[in-house]
Amino acid sequence: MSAPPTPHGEGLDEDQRLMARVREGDREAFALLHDRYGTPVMRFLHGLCQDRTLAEDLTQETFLRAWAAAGRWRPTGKVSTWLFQIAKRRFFTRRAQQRLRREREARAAAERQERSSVASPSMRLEHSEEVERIRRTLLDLSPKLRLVFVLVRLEGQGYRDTAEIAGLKIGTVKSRMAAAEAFLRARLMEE
Amino acid sequence: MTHLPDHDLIDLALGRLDAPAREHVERSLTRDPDAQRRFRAIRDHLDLYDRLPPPPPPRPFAWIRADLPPRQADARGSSAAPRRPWAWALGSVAAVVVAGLALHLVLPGGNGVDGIGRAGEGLCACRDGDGVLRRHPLLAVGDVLVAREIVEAWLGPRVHLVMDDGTTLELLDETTVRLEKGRAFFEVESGPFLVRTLFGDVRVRGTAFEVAVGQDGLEVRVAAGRVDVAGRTIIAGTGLENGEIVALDGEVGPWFRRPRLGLASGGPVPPGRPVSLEFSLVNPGMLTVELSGPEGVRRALWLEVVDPTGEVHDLPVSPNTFEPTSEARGNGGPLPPQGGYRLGPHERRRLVARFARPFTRRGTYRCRAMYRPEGEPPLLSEIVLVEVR
Repeated sequence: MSAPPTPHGEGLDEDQRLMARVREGDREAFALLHDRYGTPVMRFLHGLCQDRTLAEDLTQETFLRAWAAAGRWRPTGKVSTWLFQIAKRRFFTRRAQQRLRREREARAAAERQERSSVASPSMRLEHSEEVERIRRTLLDLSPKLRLVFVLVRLEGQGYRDTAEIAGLKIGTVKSRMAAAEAFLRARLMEE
Repeated sequence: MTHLPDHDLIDLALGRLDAPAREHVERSLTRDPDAQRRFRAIRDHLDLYDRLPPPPPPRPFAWIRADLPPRQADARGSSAAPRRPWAWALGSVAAVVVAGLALHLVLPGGNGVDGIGRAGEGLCACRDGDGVLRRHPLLAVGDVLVAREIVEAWLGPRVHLVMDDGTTLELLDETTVRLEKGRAFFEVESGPFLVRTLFGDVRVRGTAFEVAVGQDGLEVRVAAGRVDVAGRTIIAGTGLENGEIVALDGEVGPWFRRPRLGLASGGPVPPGRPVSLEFSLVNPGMLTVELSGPEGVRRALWLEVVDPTGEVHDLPVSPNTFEPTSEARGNGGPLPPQGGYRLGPHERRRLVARFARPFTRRGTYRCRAMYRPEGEPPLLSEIVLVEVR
């Protein structure tokens, strides 16, 4: 049974009021938070790892971690930024533990074999050669640059939010974005 | 003619420029054919990502709900003054998250600290794989640092540490970490700092020391200053040399090993099975062992002493206590045939107390051991030995 929501102060946005309830152990509020940010976090992590199963795992880990850390959350910034920071850390932790690309290729090969006879139009599009080429190239980008590129280009995050999530200065975000763009452009336009 | 940097062209392509900035960039483009060519290339490239399909949805919340542990109220956070994460009074703090990052080893006090703010800034940083000093977001209490390679980190301006590959460290408090496994060398400039481990606590006040936690025990090496290990004081340079090592064994208390029951699974002891206890003692002192259970309190009747070579010696003792005496094999002569048992400095001994009368009554048997090192307050440990069913 979840605790009744505590009175909240002035100036909290809707997400922060929701988090305040989560902080008190309100699981229904946490479910609402997941409804709201599950997909963006999944999209962000999928952009980083380009692997569905891994992104699902990391998304689940992110929210479990957020639940555990909710007691320490304070309304000093956006809830989305806080979640993305947790997600980012989960990604980098996992990356160090796995040989990401090798597992993904093996899984993709197994999935291609599994899906070859059962393919909806959207699935066929997902595995089009061009999309695969873009995804492969994204994975060729170093994780530090990929993080910034995914946040800025794929997630549409502003430079300030990106800087906060990644723990960088805004100038560093811009320079890494430019470096990432140049790298990807050179690879994709040359092929 | 001003060269338009790529990030301006990127911002223009992504529609991130405000009206005045956009006008300026577009005006510059009209005068710079090279910039126009670069802009077209950048725009065409960035448009590619619109072709990526939307990612699959996350797993349903029910998957997460099933794993949610019960949330305990954060005692300090629920107070009127909200608990701050690892923060310093003087301002914003950056702490290091080293998980997943390959970092270079930087010797304590050596190169690699240039550019890192110290006292006053509360900056925490690490050197990444490209040799770049990075600032990381604030670490919150409860965060875990997992070193994938040798890592140098600063936790605020006071604490500098180097973690071995495979070390896992959790922040418990502003002045407390839990070293779950691995090895870390700490330099604490001033003030209290506590390293908690499964086998004991290492409490310091402005010192340099190393803690290594393995499967079977804890090892502490003191480089400078004073370190309290689970109640035993190890003072560098006073009776103990710098580089002194103390090894603490056991899962309960600093010097009390879980009894070996001789059972593969460690399950309940059948009635009649004797129980052996092992103690690792570092400094001279007196050990008293007593057993309490459904029959009441019973004292150890005799001891087996296992010397460093593994040889077992029977050591008859008084019914109530025994006194460690003399040196042991590996450090001197043979063990005395009877009497007590005394350790010299830096000596480590394992003693086995065997309760000759087996446990016959069903119930819970506890063991209490009191160790009185010379000149020091006594240490007391109590564990549940067995549940006889």
